[in-house]
Amino acid sequence: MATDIASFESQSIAREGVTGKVLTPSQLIWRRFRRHRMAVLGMISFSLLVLFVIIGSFYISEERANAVDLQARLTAPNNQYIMGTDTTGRDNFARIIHGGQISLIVGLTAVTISVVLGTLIGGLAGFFGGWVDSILMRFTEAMLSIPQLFLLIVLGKFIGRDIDTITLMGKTFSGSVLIVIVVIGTTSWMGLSRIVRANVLSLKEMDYVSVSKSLGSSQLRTFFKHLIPNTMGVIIVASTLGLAGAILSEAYVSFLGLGIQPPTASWGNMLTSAQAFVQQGSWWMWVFPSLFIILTILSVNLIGDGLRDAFDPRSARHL
Amino acid sequence: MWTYLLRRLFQALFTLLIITVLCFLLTRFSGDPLAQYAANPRMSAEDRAALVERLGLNDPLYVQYLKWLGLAIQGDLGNSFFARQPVTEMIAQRLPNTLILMMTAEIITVSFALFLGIISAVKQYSFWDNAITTFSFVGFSIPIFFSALGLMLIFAVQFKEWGLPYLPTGASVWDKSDPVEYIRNMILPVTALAFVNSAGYSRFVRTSILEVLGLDYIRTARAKGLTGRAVLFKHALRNAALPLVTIVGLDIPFLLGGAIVTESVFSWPGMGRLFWEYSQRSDYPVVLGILLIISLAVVILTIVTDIIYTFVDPRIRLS
Amino acid sequence: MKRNLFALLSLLVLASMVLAACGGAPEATEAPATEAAPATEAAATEAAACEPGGTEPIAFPDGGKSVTAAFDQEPDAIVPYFTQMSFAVWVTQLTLVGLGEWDDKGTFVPELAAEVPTADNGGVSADGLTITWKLKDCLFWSDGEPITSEDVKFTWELVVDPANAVTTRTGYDKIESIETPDDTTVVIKFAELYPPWPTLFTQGPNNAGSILPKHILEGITAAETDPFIRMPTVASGPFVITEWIPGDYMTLLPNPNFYKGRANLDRVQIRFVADSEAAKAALQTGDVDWYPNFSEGDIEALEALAPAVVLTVVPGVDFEHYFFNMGRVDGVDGRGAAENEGFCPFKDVRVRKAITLGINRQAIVDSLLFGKTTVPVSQWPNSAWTNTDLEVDAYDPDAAAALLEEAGYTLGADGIRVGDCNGTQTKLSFNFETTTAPIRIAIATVAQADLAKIGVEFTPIHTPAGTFFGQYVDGGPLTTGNYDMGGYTTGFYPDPYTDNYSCENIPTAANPTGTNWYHLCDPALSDLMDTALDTVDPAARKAILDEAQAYIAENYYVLMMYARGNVYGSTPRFQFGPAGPESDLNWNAEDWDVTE
Repeated sequence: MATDIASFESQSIAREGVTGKVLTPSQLIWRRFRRHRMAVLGMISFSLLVLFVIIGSFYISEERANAVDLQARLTAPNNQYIMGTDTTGRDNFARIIHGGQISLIVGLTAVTISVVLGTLIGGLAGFFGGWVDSILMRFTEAMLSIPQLFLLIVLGKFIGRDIDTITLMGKTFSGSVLIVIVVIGTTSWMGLSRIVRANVLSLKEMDYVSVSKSLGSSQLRTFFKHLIPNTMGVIIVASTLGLAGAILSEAYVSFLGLGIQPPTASWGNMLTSAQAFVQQGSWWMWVFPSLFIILTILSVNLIGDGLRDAFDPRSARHL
Repeated sequence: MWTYLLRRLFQALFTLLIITVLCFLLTRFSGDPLAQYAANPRMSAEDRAALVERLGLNDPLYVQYLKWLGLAIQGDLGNSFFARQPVTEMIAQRLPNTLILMMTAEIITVSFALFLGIISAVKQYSFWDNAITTFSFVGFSIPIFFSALGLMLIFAVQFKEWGLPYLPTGASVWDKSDPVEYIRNMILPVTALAFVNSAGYSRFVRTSILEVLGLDYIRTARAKGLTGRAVLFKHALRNAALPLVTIVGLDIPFLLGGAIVTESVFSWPGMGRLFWEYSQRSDYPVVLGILLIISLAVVILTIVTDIIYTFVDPRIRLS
Repeated sequence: MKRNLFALLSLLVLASMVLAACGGAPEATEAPATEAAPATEAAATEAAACEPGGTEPIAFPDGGKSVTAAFDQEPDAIVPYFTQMSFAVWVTQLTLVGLGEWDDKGTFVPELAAEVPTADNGGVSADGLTITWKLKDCLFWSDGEPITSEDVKFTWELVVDPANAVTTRTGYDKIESIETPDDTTVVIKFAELYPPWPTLFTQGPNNAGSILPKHILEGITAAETDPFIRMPTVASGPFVITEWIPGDYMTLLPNPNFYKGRANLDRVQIRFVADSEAAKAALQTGDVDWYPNFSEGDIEALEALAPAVVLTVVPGVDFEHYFFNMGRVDGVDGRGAAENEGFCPFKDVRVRKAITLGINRQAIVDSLLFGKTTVPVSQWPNSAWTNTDLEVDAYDPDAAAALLEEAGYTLGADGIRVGDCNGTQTKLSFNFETTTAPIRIAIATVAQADLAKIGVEFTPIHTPAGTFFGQYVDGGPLTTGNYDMGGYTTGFYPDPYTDNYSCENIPTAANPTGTNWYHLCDPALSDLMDTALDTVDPAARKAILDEAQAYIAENYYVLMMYARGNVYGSTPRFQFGPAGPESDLNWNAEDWDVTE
């Protein structure tokens, strides 16, 4: 019978296909996603951004991004430096490329940590209830009551400063990158876990979950098969906002002086150091990092938005 | 109901205890309160030792903690190392300013978010939906330290230069008892906060409304012949309020903590700045005191939020 | 030589008194309060005039002259013995003065004292152990009580009383007794020679010694918690603090009894802001009139804001320096054992010299600091203590590379030099630790690039100041010696401080509060510095300190990066007097004015 419920669900999805042709759920999701024009636009621009930082790094080495030339400091954009140079004469274009890689990697890994933690903790708490719920929620509350900025500061100092460089996928990262990822990831899951819990609490009362339970499906099966997938919409919206948040957090951590160690560039530390130039005519210092941050976050959020509409079998029907 | 409340209160005390231990350890290891004297050569080894002794930093950690806890239970949060004032007094001086600023910002943010979210949901994929989506994500994409500074440079500095009526930077000495002055000085920080925060809120409003609009009972309501607007206000909004309550509940502690960055940029004499300034100095009685107040608020508000759930969504039972 | 110096000093003292008297005179017409602040001679002959000008701060009149300063750190306590914050000291200078101060020319001038003690005027005894100060006649606190020698004695008692948690007793603990034969005479007897005695009870940039009112503070214990210590509401300086709203602002009104007469301004307010960015915007809109804490990195931005913002750069006595961790676990000749062995190659002076020659310091000063400061030859720049015979080593990457070759470090395949150090193959690759200040990040970036060119891998690690300067027990990198190279700013005025080169001052578990963060034990240097502390004759002391500077330079123990400047931004309406390296801006706040 449990399988019947599952097939009932997929049938209901399939029935939506306008053409009457039976579509697989993923085809259907794609179909719905496409209707969200802004989301498609976001998808295109995000892909372009990713391609830009990956392909760019084949042509422009990291050494070039870190090469200092005091003679050329604060050069306005020209043919040689299409995005100008910074206070120590480094090429902003090269730094945008390599900084972008770091920012995207930090954002993606941190948000993965945070989503996994948040979903598991919130989901388990809501599903099992009782003392599991109590303990997990007390812990969440304890973490939540500490402002994230403060957690960022304290954990950054706590985890330590002397972490050796790591080599991953042929790229060398300073230890600070790892610290920033862990700090952001472990300080941003609480909101999501509360939302997931609230959602699971609500779903638990729904008929098909009760039915599944009464029919003797294992708890784990019910949890992963019914509750988590049905919470997807919420998780996706929260995690895209979360990815945006993580990229921003990286900027805040830089702002607080605990970010990615120089000379490694990140969009966050570029923007932070550009702050003093807003009034000073060296517009290229802040325009490019902020442009790339805004564009990335905007695209990511739009994608998340489209995905939410697409994932949720109920949302797009009436309006 | 009453046994539930009692149990929650008991749990709350437990949470608070966990929080105090956690915060105590984190703050104690987040830097050295004597570090500010570091570069001063006139401070001899003996002077330093005497000061460490006087501040009680030589006691074993658990003794330091228990001493602090013992006093905190009696409502005495100790004295700041540096300001040499009772922490409770320092917090009391800042709390009203923060509450006024943050409540105003929160009310404007939520109303703005509801407005945007509803339009977005009802007119899903329309031009307005896309425009609102883009606008709110742009606000969300700029780190507030940057957007707040930008607002200040435009509406205070540039407007003055252009000879237009301009807003204060917040950094003058202004009369807190004059309501007109108060509002004038509040415009920029509130705008900065609302610009950043309404993006997240409006997305959640949009999501929840879309979700609810897809549910069976709404369809039933429509089938019964209710108009779109009546359905929206009678059923959809009420249910869409659930995630919003969660989110706003989550944000309350930050109302107390204040927006650290916003308060700083606009020199607002609130809790956020107090916290930031004293955590930089590792003045842990102050930092701990603020955290304790925030935690108390979180814990109490969590219970309140859970109770509100039962009113908003009758399907959830307190047990 | 000594005599000449003192004669010169006395002359200057006299000149400044005349100037002070002249400055006071015209105000008498506009402020009745000046009755209490006549020139000393007048007061002595005319005892009847010795009345306080008032007992309350002078209220702010409608349309009065007011300036607002922006401070990005709120002072912790204004009574100087309980704080080390420069922001606090700046307020102290406005409200609580000492016996003397340093003016914009670097001259030591009397404040509450009638003259600076010298051997000639009998102020300094032949053995150098007894210093006699004479106070001006007819001094009053802002509440109308007289300022007497008893106040000086009380101040000393309060500072050395173990029941009070002062931040430093340096020097004050060398005093054996203070006698007060009459109301204006203070006889200070030292237990041992203390050549920097002018730094006690006086005010300079890195020291602040105010005289405290006995009639207010008598009998208090645990003074650090007393509200007066935080916010003194009775003043001896030009202004009185009348209001202090934490996190917001502070108001100071003129002292009716200030010895030089009523201040020009009717009010000074200090607004607490977040950072220099907020201050920059507020200066442009005129919301504040001055901000004292810009860094060298802001110079370019401030120049762009002219004429709305006036930029003033005054060379300072502080300096940014890089240094090597010279720790030796075994110590040297049984002295100065450190817990961490410093990076092995640094023990070779050729390596230290190569690193010094391999960083283009002049280029850093010219570009990142806009040529507004200099690369100093030694500690104590911009002061009379500098050894003027020394010269700065110019940037010479070829010589640096040659030195490293000579020391046995040859280029490896990865472009980093490797060589044998004490039997171990060692790569010239090490960490450099400093704080997160943007200018430090920029400079370290350049140093890293420069050193890479000579095959040295210099990896900057930027830690927030709170951790970087952390105590020994909290594992701070400097104190525990857990670093290879380090860098920060320090300063030594008004008197060179030499303890941080002493072998006995290396921080260890047994001596966790030691101040020798270089972890350097060079017995010859250590002894030289100790001798300087035991020499009272200024000329002889200067000779010893010259020798010490030359010794440090020869051994390349410290890499002087640049002399720090004080960078002030102000609005055009705010008029302030000249500021020198030793005087700061606030030394003559009574003369501040505004033009409308």
